[in-house]
Amino acid sequence: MDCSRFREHIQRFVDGELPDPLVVEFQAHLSFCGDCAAELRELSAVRGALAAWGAAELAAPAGFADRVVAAAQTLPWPTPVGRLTSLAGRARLPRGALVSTRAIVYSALALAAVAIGLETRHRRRSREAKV
Amino acid sequence: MPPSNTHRWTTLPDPSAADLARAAGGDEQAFRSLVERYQGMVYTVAHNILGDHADAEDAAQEAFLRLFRKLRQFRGEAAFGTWLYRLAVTTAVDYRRRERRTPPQVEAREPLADPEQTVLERASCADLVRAVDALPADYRLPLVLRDVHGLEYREVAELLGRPLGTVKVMVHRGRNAVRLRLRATGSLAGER
Repeated sequence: MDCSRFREHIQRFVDGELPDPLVVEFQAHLSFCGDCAAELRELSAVRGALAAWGAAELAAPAGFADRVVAAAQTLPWPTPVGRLTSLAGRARLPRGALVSTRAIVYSALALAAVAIGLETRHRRRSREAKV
Repeated sequence: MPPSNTHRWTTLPDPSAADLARAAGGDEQAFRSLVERYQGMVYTVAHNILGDHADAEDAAQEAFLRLFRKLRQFRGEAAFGTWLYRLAVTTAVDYRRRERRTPPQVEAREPLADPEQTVLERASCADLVRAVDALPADYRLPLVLRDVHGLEYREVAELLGRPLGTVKVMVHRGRNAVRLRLRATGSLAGER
């Protein structure tokens, strides 16, 4: 039996890409061609095995997350504020108290914002006084 | 039709918008949480594509560093898991293209995940991995992207920068070569 034309259909059938009219013809062929039917079963089985292989999740190597985070720390941080607020650890104040460096950075930014606001208001009042 | 592994991984609950915003802003702890949450997925994708533990670790790390740089570009139009999955695939493909080494004959991992796949009761994981890794690189990568990760042919063609028809031929030949090798080892004996 010349199966060459149908052999070309098998992979497309496995992929679900064989057009409907050809599916009917192909299935009719399968009903009496044991070789093509066996090849179809094998290819379908291979496809199923490959999908199952991919579904098995591997554990990342021990310490992987630590190495990634350490490598990321050598890169420029996405935003300047992010870089500042990412500072890990704590700072020791003059009297020995420990404060998060992040808290210090946020406090400094808040103080700077207040100072800028006061300075702006002072200048505006000065201009108004001159007028 | 076998289930898409993209779908399996990307149905994991996404991190909250607040967590993503913190990581995007450079919060180290928030970024670490993302790495710990998704390291298995990213490492597995890299290993499937590259077929080697050391290369997979390098590529997985590279994927997370890309994530670190690009996180602010994430707009939430797709699920975060989907977005990261694509980033992991792209990074591993780029790594393969850059390194251009033939994957070594890797050790098989046991057990395979889905006990309902009857073929897996006959075809050992070691045979399957050996059959895939014995493929020429031009067949292995498209086959892994298509059948292991469930990408559409169009997506595989875009990722590899190859014509769609060429990619289909590569996948078909690769799939057939795996079939013949598994049959030769007796792993598919029950399918005939």
